[in-house]
Amino acid sequence: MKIAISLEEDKGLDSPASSVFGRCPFFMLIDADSKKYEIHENPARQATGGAGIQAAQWVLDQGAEIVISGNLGPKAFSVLSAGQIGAYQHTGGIAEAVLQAFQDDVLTCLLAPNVDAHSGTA
Amino acid sequence: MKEILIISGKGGTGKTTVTASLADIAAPAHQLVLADADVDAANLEILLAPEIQKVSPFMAGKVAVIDQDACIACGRCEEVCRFDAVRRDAKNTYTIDSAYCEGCLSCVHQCPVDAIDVDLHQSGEWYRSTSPYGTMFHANLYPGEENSGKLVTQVKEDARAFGTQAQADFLLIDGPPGIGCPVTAALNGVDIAVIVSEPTVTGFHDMRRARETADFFQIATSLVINKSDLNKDIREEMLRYAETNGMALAGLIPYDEEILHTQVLRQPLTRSLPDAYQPVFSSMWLDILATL
Amino acid sequence: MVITIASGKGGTGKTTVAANLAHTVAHKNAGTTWLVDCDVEAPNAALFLNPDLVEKKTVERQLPVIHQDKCTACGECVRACEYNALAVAGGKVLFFKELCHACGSCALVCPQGAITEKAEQVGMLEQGSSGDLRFAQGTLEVGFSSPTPVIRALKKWVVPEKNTNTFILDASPGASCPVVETLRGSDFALFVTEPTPFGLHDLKVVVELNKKEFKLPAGIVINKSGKNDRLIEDFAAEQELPVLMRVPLSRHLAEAYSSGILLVDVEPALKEEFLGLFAGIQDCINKGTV
Repeated sequence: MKIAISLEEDKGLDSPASSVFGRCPFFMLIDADSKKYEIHENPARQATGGAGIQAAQWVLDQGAEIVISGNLGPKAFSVLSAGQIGAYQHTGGIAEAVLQAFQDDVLTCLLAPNVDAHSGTA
Repeated sequence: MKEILIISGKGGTGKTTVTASLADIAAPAHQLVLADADVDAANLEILLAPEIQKVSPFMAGKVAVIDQDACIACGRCEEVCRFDAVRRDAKNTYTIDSAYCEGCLSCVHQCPVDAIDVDLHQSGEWYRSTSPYGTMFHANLYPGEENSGKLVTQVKEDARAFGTQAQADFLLIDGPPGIGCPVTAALNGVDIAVIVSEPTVTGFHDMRRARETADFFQIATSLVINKSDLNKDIREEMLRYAETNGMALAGLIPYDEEILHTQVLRQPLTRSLPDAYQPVFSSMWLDILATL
Repeated sequence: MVITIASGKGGTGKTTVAANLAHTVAHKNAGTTWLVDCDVEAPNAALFLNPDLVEKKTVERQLPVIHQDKCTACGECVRACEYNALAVAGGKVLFFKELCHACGSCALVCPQGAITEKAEQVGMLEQGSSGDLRFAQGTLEVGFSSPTPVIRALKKWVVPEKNTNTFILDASPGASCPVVETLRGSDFALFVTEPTPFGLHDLKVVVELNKKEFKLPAGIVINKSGKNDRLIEDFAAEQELPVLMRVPLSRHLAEAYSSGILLVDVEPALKEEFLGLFAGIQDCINKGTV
């Protein structure tokens, strides 16, 4: 399962997590099982408007199934929701700890993952 | 972190004056982040004397530029441009007027021979500074530049990111006048819009439009009436309007020519005229907190 | 002759000066005098002049309509949109109207022809008369971010390219795109300011704008004039800009203003001063002062 975590800085697994989604400086894309990860600069950071939308689009296009960040704006939320991506809210700490907290099921769920697709028109 | 935006609809009603005094009142008890979102005419710095720590260039201005060597003068760019930015001269040379170009890049995509390039130019700069009341984010848009809504977003988003990370209590934003793109950018995601108005026909008219705009974005509103005793009839009408439309009342400030005169001291009113204004703004701050 | 009244700072008295000047001059001027309220986010001049607005015209922009049945979720439109107004998720396209700039790019790039366009009203133009004065204004629809198309449409509607009449344009505060749009094509820039650090700071911005973009002949009106006028006068002298008029700080005038009454109606002596201001502007234009 691929997870996207918004980061304040790039320090590998010790990167402090960011509570901002649309304009966080970096995203970590991590495989929950293997713990293999990549850290990317957030392309939406320099967006002049709609950064949350662009960040959500990017995360979706990267194949993430779960996003862990702070609060999400309504537009970012609607993109993630349409893409059936789950979203969770962390309370700070480094990436490794945030991932652990997610796996221990103690994070607040903002958007349930794997919402059943509605039958009918997409 | 709660975000408080001060707007007005009408210019000159006292947004910056109110923001500075609220900052002075709130700072001792709370961790504040400040933002001046009036990037065309950034005045908060006059009252708060920030020290700039970091300057960043603002590069929002994407403009299209025609490569004359590659251009085949087919006119497709002129057909697709919605902003009247394409010029054709008597020799059938096509150019793009950067004053009109809005950077949508439609012409870039539609040009059959890829003869249009994209230029980024610096249209302003923004700052992170320290101030007596907290870290302050502000900006200056170079005169005549477009994209002020984008620079407002930059300032606000950076203030928000900083404040969230620093776990500040409040973000106080001195907003721009009007209701257009700078104001909608400033309204995005705030917890309350404090509308500073005056009891004049024009002030009331614009206050209504400001409230409607905040309402459109589903943001709670609170009213401050400056020069409140200038016109009793209109003041009463405004108070009735506020009540009918679910606006909280944050405070009344009487007409006082001293306010204009003491502005040369370049300080919040709570410092230059403390006896008169500390109580007014303390009570205003408490009202705003109560509404939040 | 086209005179644009601007300020940099909001609330200095642009509309007060514009309305009183236009009203006073309309009686005396040869030819027609117009007041064109270009502050489309918050047009206020009508509140003082009470024009009879008999003619209206809508301003529209074309916004995209996504046909989900034809859409293959290829994402071309998302990549083309510079404003992040589009996203593709769950096999369909999401459209965020508040971010849309009506550029038409998405409709052109869609390989399936799944995006068409529909006209939406972004503003309303109105014109009429107030006594001898002709009047026009534009109003931006609430929720729409860009005033520039409405200002452009307003000027196109009532200000001819070549004109022999007098057009007084009331600009919005600030010095960015809407003010640029209003100043464009004018013959004179009249800057209204107040004798405070805020007034001076913002006056500098708009003076700089004029110098950089248009180099129009220009002059200054000091509103709420009083003991701190030196702040402005020193700057004006340094910039070689004439101070063409002062309106005194006065509670009496402020009260009249608050009720939507023209200053010249409560202080008839001001009529001569506004005529003097107009004559001063004409002089500057004839001399070509910058």
